[in-house]
Amino acid sequence: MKNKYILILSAIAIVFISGCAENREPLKIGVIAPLSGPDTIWGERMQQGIDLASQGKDIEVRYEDGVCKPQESVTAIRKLMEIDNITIIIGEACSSATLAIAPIAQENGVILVSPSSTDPRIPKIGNFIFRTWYSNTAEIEGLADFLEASNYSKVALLYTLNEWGENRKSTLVSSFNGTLISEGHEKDAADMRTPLIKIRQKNPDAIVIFGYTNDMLLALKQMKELNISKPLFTTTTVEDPTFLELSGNLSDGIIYFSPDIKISGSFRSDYMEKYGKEPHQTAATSYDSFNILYDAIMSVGPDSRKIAEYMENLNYSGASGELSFDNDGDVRRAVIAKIIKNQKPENYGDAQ
Amino acid sequence: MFPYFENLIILGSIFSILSVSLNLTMGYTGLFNLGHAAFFAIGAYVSALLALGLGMPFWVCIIAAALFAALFGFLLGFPTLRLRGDYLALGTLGFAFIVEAVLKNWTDVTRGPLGLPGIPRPELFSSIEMYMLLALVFLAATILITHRIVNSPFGRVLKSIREDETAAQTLGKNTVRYKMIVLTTSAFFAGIAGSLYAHYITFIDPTSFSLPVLILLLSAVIIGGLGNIRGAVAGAFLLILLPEPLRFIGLPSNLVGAGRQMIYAVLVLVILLKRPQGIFGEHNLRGKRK
Repeated sequence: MKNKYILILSAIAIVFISGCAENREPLKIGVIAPLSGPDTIWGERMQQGIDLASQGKDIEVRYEDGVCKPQESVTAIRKLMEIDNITIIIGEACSSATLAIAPIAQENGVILVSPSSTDPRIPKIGNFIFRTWYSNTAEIEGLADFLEASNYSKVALLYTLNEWGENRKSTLVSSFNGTLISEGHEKDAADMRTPLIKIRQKNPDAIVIFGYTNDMLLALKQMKELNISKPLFTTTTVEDPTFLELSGNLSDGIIYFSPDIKISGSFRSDYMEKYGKEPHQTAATSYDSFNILYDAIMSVGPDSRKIAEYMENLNYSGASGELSFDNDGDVRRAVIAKIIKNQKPENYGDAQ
Repeated sequence: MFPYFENLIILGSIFSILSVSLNLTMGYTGLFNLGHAAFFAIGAYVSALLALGLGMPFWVCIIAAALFAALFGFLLGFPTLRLRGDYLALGTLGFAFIVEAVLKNWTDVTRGPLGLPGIPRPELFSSIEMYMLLALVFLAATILITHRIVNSPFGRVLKSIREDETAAQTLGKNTVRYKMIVLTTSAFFAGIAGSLYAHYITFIDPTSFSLPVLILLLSAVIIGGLGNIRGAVAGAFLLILLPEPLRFIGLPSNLVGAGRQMIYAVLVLVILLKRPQGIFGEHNLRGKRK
């Protein structure tokens, strides 16, 4: 009987004793990344980017495993904040984990920069929450400008009736200054003739589609059957290799805007030298996240409020291209027009 | 640094409520119930949706969560409780997968894989210290009620079902009814745990309740010892706390993830090799008493 209690007590004791051992405070940045579990590949990319960025800099990087899970990440951020006294954190990779830790960071005045979470709700959590991965706002605004510049005043929108589609629709509605005819369809629709025929009757100048791969394929097929041939526009989702392969020549000529993430400069060559392969975008955004935070600490000190202000006024040119942050702390990146040619994305400018 | 420990105690308490209630079915009644994580999920989603969608106060949410989970426990009992052993395990596992699929695909209500962020903390218990007290009170209540159940004449029938269901039936006990009640009760507590989890983490998505959670719960019950309340609590706390010291041993940064997982796995294996019946176990999975 005694043994059992000793076993449990010693486990708890180790936590407490080891927790008390740490007291010094050098300059530290915490990283919460999926370092084990099924999403490790994202953590590895983050770690490679951050390792490369922190090389030769007088700053300590403390990694904690968030496993891409809300519960694990909550414990990880508590550990970084309260045991290591860290107030500047990069993480998590997955949106679910970031959504769980962002309110904790905000409440405790901790700067949190996610290099790869896509959920649009993340930056809205507070002024200490930032993200360097691209958001879809800029690409849709780019699209709206392009439509106006091409004198398409009457545009039809075919979109998916869910949060994902509604989010994109509302961005387009607020940024496009012409007549917009919106027709929604269920996700994984079996038939889209009804919305498509409605669109055909209105005779728009161009059609914008916000849909998932399967729905986009069906829409393109039925548009051809219904003889609807208008200029087509969409978002980066079109770059899905499955879509490009299955769509055949139907996807030819689709125009969309894509964030201008061009991995460049010394980062690319350093990365190739160290890891022997092409860097993934997440490695570049993690590299930039670290450098932005490092520059911020160097110029305004480790105070969260000052760092947040510094980042809001920042125009940064890094390994993942040019970026700045909007009022929410969401990243703004330059977008470029692209066009699908022979099932491959090409820069619109080059293709003309 | 205290919120870090309070966080661990909250998580330990939530998982203890789950393992104590799973123990009620698995340890005491011998039902190999793999649907427990699904009741956890139902509790969490019901509570979160009531709080976010209808702005219900926490107390309403947690009671609704428990009742909903209990209802699903009752419904699951109809088709599965006439099954035994492996068939019951597969039947309940099937239920767990159905629940996960519904949470992922019923996007109008659950928002699917996007998950539900911003679940409010209960007003009085919004600080982490108070929430810890709340979780501990619920854990204490769960332990107390479970203790009363298993030490009552009702509990003795449960144990007799575990030891030999046919013998219990020949003594005139309606074993299906007993199993139904115990599964419903167990699901009720899982619903409470789900609600506590949702309002603590403040974000839930379907993957928060998938297979790894079920495996954690099964491990907690088995490591703690089947058929023992102290064991279930100890098992859950051990599995929550055991990975934590490994954060402090200073693993090189490229080994933080993998190294921690490996040491954790080895420690769990050592415990099970040293005590196959679990820390407090009186009953192992093969059905033999020690």
